[in-house]
Amino acid sequence: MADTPLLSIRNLSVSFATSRGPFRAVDGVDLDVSSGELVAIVGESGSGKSVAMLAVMGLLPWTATVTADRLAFDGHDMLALSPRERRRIIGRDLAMIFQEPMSSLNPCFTVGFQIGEALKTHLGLDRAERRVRSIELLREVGIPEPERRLKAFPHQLSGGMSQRVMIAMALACRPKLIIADEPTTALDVTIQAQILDLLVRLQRDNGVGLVLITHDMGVVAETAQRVCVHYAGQQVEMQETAGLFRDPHHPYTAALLAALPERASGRILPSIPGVVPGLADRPKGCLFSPRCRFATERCRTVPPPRSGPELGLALCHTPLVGGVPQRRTQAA
Amino acid sequence: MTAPVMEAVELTQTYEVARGFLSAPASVKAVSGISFRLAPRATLAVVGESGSGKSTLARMLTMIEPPGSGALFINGADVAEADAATRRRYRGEVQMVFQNPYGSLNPRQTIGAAIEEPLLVNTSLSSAERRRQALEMMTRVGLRAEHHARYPHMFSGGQRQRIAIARALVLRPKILVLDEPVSALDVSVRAQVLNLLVELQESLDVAYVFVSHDLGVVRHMADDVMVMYLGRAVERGPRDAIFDAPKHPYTRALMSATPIADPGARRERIVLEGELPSPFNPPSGCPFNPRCPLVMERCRAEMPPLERKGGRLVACWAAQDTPGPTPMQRQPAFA
Repeated sequence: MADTPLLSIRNLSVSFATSRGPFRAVDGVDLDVSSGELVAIVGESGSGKSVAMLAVMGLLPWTATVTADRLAFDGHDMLALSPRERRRIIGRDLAMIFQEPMSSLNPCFTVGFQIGEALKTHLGLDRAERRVRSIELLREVGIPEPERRLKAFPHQLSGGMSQRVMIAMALACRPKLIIADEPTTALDVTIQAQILDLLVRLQRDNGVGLVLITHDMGVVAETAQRVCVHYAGQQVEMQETAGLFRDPHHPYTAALLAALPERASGRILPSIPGVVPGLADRPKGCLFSPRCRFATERCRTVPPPRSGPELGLALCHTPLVGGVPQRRTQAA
Repeated sequence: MTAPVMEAVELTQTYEVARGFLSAPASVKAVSGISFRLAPRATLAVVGESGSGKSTLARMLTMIEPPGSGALFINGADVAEADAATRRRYRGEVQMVFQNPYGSLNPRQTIGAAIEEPLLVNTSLSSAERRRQALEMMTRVGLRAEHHARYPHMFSGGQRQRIAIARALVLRPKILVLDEPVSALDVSVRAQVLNLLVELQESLDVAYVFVSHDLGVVRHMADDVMVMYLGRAVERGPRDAIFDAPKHPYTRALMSATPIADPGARRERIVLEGELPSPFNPPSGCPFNPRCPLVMERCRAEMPPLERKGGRLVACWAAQDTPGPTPMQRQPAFA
């Protein structure tokens, strides 16, 4: 990561205006992604992982207020761009794959038309060139008989096929960065394996940067190089994948890993009590403190500082080392 | 072995599907020839991808629909031969928890009313007694008494699933059919609900039929595992036999495709080609043969029977009667 990263986010916050006052869905998130890198963002529902990436894409509704110290993609300041300039980048250099392939495709148009749209808008290809490129794309994502599939409507495709079409659309203009939001959650495991294989191959062979949003720790372990853990809108930890699974520094990460049935030893899983705090019951100090088994009085009253990189940038008063909370000695 | 609380013999379900005005209706074999015995307090996990017939099987086991052919025995008695009154009693013995806790609770019914409803329908208890039993069951599943008068929208997904479990258990069934009970829940909440299910099984003496596609959860919960593919059982046996040395190529592919939350694990991955074939015209011979890495001439012609091989039942011509895995073509894992 010597050169400047492709995507660089500093202190990104998103709040939504609700009838009960502003709700902070994303709170001070930092992220750097370089070309050819696969970064995973993990978190439970409500952790703000999707909203943070939608903010990068500029796809949030008008009720959202996005602020950031820096939100740069490939040298562009995404916050300062006009909508017209933004549209020129999105879909070409920066593409997104959504969670529900069935509902993300337009049911009224054929697959060929929907892939061709981006090719026409961004690259100005004519009809014949679009057809050739669409067939090439469908073949690349592993769809059999691509010539015939161009005329298919989304309802004629299975979930796995629809997701491949979504990926083909994302790849259409050879993007530099792809954001995949739970790309395999709606799919069966054998199909999930095919799609993950495809994404990892694209990232490795074509040098595409990939941000993978997921809640599945198994998917993270098998694909990502680096992992960000989100909780209630905050980024609580960021580490290399191997380190995160070996020695998680934030108590939430540790508890999340311990709660996986495949990592448990006994009949009773070490579960995390309670639920993610909502708008009304946000605690004063550390947001995880009501559910944390290491929480002290200070955690409940004082917001935690960010640790240094040697402690996974953990947002915690007493980050864990080898499962044992450490007294903080110096500020990082 | 103790007498089974539930026994299925060659359960088969075929649906007629209309294919337009002039064409003859097509028939889909959703489930075919499923047999198993479920011991008291045991857990049988049914594993398979969408379209494998898991949910149809669950509907037959809960007597929501009668089987097309085959027989279902509850406590040793054939359900089909029972009169209406007895069958009503059997329904109380087998209860179900559905996948989506957002869809399975009536939004206009209080939690108390939802949990009491099975008692209202199936027993002649007084309303005070119904309320007492509902409150007792709510305490058991970790809900508080003041939740009794609240509505489903006031609860999180995990709490709703607790409500659904309380409603299913309030009649004190001997068998609980759980259709993907935790797949809609977040990891931390999932662990809470799984723990609750383990506790309840011990305290209430209930046997589980646990339908799931999540092998991590299945390995944690199950005593026996049945793997289904296109309506048929391809492998069935004790959990450890199946997880330690899966014999059917589909079971092996399924296991290798399930991501493991351990980046250090060096694994080999079998990536299956293609997708589940259409149930309208299943392939001849073994239903798995178009995707199978071990396919032979015989697989395309003849359906392999479910035979005992290496401590479990497996339906595959290529599986050998040895305890270890058979050699096969494999691809290296990611990275």
